[in-house]
Amino acid sequence: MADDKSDLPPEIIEIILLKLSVKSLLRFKSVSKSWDTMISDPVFVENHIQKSKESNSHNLFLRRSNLSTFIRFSAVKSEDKKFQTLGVLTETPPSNVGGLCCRIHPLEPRKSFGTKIVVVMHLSGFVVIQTPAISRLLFWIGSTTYSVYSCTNKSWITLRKEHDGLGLTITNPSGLCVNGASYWVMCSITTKIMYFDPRDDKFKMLDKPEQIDDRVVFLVNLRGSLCLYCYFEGVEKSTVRIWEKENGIDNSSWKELVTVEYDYVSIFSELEPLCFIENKIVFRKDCDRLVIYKPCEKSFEAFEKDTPVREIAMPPVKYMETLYFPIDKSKSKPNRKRKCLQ
Amino acid sequence: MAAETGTPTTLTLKSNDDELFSVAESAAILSVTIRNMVEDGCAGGVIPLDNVDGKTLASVITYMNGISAIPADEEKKKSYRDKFLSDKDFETLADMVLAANYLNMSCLMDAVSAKIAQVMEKKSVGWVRRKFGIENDYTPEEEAAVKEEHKWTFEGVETDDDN
Repeated sequence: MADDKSDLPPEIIEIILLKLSVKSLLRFKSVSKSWDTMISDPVFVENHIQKSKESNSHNLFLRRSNLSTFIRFSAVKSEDKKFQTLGVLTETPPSNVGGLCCRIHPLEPRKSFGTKIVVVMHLSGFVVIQTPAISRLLFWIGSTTYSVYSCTNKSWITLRKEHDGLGLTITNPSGLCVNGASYWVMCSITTKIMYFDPRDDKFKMLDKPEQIDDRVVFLVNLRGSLCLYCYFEGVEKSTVRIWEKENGIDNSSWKELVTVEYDYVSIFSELEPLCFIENKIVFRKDCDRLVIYKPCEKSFEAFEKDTPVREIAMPPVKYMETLYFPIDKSKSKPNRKRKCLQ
Repeated sequence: MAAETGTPTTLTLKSNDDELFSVAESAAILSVTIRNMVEDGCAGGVIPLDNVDGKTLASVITYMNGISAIPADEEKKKSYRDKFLSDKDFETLADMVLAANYLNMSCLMDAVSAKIAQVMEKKSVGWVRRKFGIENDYTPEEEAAVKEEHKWTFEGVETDDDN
């Protein structure tokens, strides 16, 4: 080994770089052209997301709150049981609420991404932000058709839904995006799970765990996996049971993740799983506060009182810092120039 | 193989600078490369490890003995790894990551690459170029443009003369 320097082969350098933070990776694009190419490679970006999911070290929520007339999207990190706001990511102008297009944090248009993410807000429709690796946005239009925006071709395609005749109502219109596929719960007399498979642009149905009859189910993304939960009400104690779907879009085997017992006070008593922090689960309890559940001790722990849960107008969404959407922490001060759009 | 006799089997490993090391088979088979040799019956005499020097091999063996003495307790193993790597400089870590890769020891590979990443978090671009032996192939204008684009990522970074 010569002098001061080491001669690590590219495959080992890649293993090391996958463990770096987004900030360092963006800085090290300046090291050389080959490092820039490696860090910009879509496969590297996806692998980095996988690594970050495994490490579980970033626990960010994308918070949506109704302060002033803007709808504000911001990232919040939970650390030491306190939320720490990392800065405003973007805001929508008031006139855009439920109607027009806005752009959220455009990706760098050069290099291999070659794409921008567009968020479409629509009164009756909804939108799913897909990762640029999949390069599609799914946009609901009527009851029998849907549109998909391809970031690669920069065009919309309209397709006919195949599962439209079931007479079911979608309970989570914004859908849940897990590993590229989007999932919805549909229910009336029966409950079904429908998903959009981005590989062939088709809607399909997913089997539920066998133990659930026609109970209402809810979906959540925990640790990067699709999870399903439902409530079993008791007299004093109720339980929420959570199942986790095994990896792979077509794989419909579920394994039970955890069963949590909680006090049943009124019909509003609810325990809604949000995300994992290390090996603990964060729940939203009775719609107004957050609690941390420790599965190994089967006990709850409250977040600190000053946690501004009431500012969270909508349920927080698990967010992870990725190379797609780096968070510029130097811009976290208020009154910075607002980045918004059209 | 020799489990029934109760006497631990010892293997002899040879570094590329001809140093010999004795190590218990139970510890050495943390390396999939060595385990395959043992299973294929090629471990009778001395096992030559052509890609690892004596200094690095000594370190790896210390790790093999240390980690295999800890019962199945992931937290204790993790704290042993942290302590084991805490005083290693970049050059040693780079040699170890190569050795871990050659010996196919995933737990050491993971720990050392994570440690290198941790060391790099606050380092400058110049430091990385020197330590990894990477030539800057940007023109000054190109380099300035890339740096300007990600300006915020240079905040809070250790100063470096070459940066």
